[in-house]
Amino acid sequence: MAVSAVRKRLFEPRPSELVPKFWLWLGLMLLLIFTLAPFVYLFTSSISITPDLLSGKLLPHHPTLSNYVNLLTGQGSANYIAAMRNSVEVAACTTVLSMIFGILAAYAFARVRFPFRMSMLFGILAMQILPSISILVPLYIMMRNGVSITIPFTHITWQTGSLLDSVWSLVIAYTTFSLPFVIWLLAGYFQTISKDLEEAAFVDGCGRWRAMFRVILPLSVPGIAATAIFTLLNAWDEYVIANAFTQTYASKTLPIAIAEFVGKHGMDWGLMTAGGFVGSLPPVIIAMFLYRYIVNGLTAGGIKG
Amino acid sequence: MKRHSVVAAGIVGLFLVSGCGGAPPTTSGGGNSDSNGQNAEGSSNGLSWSGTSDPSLKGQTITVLWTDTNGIRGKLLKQFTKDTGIKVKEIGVDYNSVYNKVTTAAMARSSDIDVVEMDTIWAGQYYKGNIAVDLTHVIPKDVQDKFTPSSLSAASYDGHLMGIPWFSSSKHLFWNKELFKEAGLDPNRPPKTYDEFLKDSKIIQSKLGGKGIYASGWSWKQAESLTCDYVGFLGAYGGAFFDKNNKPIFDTGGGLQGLKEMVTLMKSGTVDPASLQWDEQDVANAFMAGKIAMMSNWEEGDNLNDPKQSKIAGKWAVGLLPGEGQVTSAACTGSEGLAIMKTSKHKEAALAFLKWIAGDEYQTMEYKQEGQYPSVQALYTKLSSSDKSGLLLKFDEQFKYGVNRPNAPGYVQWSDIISARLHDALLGQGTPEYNLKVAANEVQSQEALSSSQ
Amino acid sequence: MKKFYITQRHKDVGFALLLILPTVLVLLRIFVYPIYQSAVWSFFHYNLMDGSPVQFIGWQNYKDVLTSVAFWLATQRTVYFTVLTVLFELVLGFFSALLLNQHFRGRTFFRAIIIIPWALLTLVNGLLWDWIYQPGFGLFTVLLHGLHILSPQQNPVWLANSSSIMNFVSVADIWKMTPFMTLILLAGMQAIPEELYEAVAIDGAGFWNKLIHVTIPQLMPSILVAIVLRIMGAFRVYDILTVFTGDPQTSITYLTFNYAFRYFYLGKASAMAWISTIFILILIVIYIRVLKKNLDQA
Repeated sequence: MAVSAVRKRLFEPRPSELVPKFWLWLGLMLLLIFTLAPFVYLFTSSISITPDLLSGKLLPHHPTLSNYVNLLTGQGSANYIAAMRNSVEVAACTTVLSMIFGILAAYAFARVRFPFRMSMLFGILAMQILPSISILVPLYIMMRNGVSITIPFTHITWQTGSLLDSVWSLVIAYTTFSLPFVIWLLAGYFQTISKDLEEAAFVDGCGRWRAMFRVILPLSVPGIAATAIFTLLNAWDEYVIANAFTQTYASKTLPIAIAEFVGKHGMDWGLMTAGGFVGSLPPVIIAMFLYRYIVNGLTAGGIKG
Repeated sequence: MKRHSVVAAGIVGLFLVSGCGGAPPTTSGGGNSDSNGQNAEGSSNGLSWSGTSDPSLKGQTITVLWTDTNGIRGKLLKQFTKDTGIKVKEIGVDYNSVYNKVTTAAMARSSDIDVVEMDTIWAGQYYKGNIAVDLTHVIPKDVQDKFTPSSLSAASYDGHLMGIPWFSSSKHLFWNKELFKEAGLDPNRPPKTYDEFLKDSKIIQSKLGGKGIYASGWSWKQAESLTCDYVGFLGAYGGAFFDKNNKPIFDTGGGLQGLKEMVTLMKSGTVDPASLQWDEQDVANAFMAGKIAMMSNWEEGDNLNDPKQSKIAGKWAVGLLPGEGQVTSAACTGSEGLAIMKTSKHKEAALAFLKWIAGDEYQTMEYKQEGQYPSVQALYTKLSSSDKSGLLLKFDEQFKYGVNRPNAPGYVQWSDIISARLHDALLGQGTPEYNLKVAANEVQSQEALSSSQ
Repeated sequence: MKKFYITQRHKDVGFALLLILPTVLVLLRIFVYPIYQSAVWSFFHYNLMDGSPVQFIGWQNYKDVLTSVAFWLATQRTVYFTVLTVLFELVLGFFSALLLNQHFRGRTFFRAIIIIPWALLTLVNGLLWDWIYQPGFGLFTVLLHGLHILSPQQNPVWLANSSSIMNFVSVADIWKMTPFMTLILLAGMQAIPEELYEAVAIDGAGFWNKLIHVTIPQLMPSILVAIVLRIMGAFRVYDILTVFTGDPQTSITYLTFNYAFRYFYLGKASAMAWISTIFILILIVIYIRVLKKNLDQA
């Protein structure tokens, strides 16, 4: 009797659920090992000494923090810290700019009926498909000459100097590359919000503008947060464009700093593992703490394109 | 739905045509309309070796792009500014980014960069691609004669000196004396020919193979490092890449014998199979762990003697790579130069910098601080008295037997083609004959493609 | 009344344009011109490094690319990689999402942990897996030795040839991107009402029946979105391969990058980029049509 009760608890799920307890925990354990093993290995490698690593010892027999000390106080430490700062700047600015532009445009696409609405949306999305490397050279020339943007029908022009070796070249490029995806995700999310609420706001005498800020945006926080995290992680991760546009540690970002551990004839594994671990911590921490927004914000988002 | 897709495509097309119509492509990309101008040039580029001390250069700033990831080189530059009054902005990047950065800057006709690193294999592209200033007639003959032949030839392409020789480098044979002793071999007598190399390898393998040790390890990952080692074998058997008419001939004679020897070594079971996945650093790591008895590698020294990294500190030696028949020794050259960008607006100041680089002061500092071997021949005798390790003269000896990779404009792609075929042959996929034949045909068709159009 | 309607509409259109304007300006200025430029280049013989003159050659670049062995080999491997990774990521991500959607103690912890691989830098991921696949002392070999799957004498070289490299690269990509799939599918699953499961449970439906009759049909839109996003990502695989091998014929992006930035055949590289773009575009259009049909039926 007791045995069958245990059996029942372990192997029969509740009506509303799919997986029985036993399989659930078995699956979770496998998932945990699959997910964590390589990451833990990255960490244990970073606190091992080279001879230990080269003789195939998985756990450090002589744990040492020398790689971290070297990374943060050694010869290249000023560079690594500068790269960290640049990465934070680039990722933060890209995210903020993409969100401002993206929210405005996505609202228009999701909520206002105007001619060529869908066609324009698809046009914007189509741009994202071209591989970024194919436009890298023209983009480089543009950044070197400085970007000028003229507000139509006026003579107000905003002209920058050469943007090479400045974090702004990266911010501009990343913002441009992420906008289509941002608009797509946000437009999808905005569409899931009931029109009645907005119409109620109109009845109360709100204009479009106020309705957007008072009704739609507060309800869209999860969607906006999810989109922002995607943008942030992409900006943090990008390598090819950063490699082309940066020159010194005034603008080099973390992936570039880590790539520099790779020498002409090979790489310094100790420094790489330590640098890689530290460089990955911010996005890992952000993603871990904000995962609920990602999950909730994606709900139905982007599906109705 | 269909309508949307069509309209979307139409809109993209509209953007393209209306937004930016009529941009002339030949000028838009910084095209090389004056691509043939290089030939007409010579001493007429206005640069003068004796004009580098012109007081007007003081206060100018030049930008230097080179490999410097730990900032050591940057510190040396202060001395140059002190000596000449010319300021230097340094762009220190990792080696793998140098080439991309140089060429992207050249494509954009950018004058941001004045002096750039030039690995030996880029000399042809720097010349034909109109990237760097031809220094053949700028640097006086008596100055050119002061450089090691290895570094001077590495900075030249087809008779054109495309940069100042910066440092000397080549591959060398390193061996583990202790493992030699254990295997019953004379630890002071490394193999002189590849036949001996194979024989010694078999002895080491039979004695020490049981301990998981291999006789040799190589950087035979499908990459430039594999082509480098092949060049050494090709040279040892007296081969050549091209004949006088630029027709590839490495699929015959010494080139073929060289690859056959590599395959024989691989098949003999004396080469660590991991070699097929290794770059030079991996090979050095295995050597330091005492897992291979011999390796071919660039100038190593301090690493191998650092007990924190190395189990073989003080137990190794370095000497000439094997030769065969008439050839005493052959090793791939890795010397590099520094070039002046065509687009530079401070060419004379850049030349002053090159002059300083070739001077004893800088060359000595680089040797002492970074273990980079001088491009100036006289320094080898001068510095050897204070070199307790004796490495300086041993490395210099090998430099005399350096073999250059064919640094013509197409080299980068040839190397990709060749390394793919070498790798296949080493894996046993197709015979050496077949693989080299295919590689030679592909190289030739590439050659034809670029010259016919 | 009618007049009011028109002005309201006008106001709406004006408002919409105002909102879209910043985006359109940025995209036009930064994006469209380079795209146009690369389209133009694709019709020119434009070799930067060999001193040959720039000239218009019509469709020749496209013909050259489409008849080159390297391009098709790279395409074949890219498609193989894309299919393999997207398939595994979908299946693994689906079951992970299924587990994480249940109620159990420590769910927050598990949900947070599984995101780690996705947040790791792509470059670091490549270097990490290259390290894992090191013969002799890498984690992979050491584990197989420890589990006695390999005898101590066996010491395979995992990354020796380009065809098998695709499998090992796939594992690295699957490890990194499965969490992304999980997140999207988990988001979709959360929206499935529990009553649907309870309803079929009354009919005695077990695990597979619930899966086939409730979860999968309800999740279809999310699955399609996840697939298309991953196809677009996987098709561009590049960073990891540069760490694993010097062979550019392992992916289209790798080959395109080398044509553009190693050999400087800018015309051919542009043509290659456009061909692969059109390829993906066709995939996406097919996807959109399938999706539309799917939504119409729902």
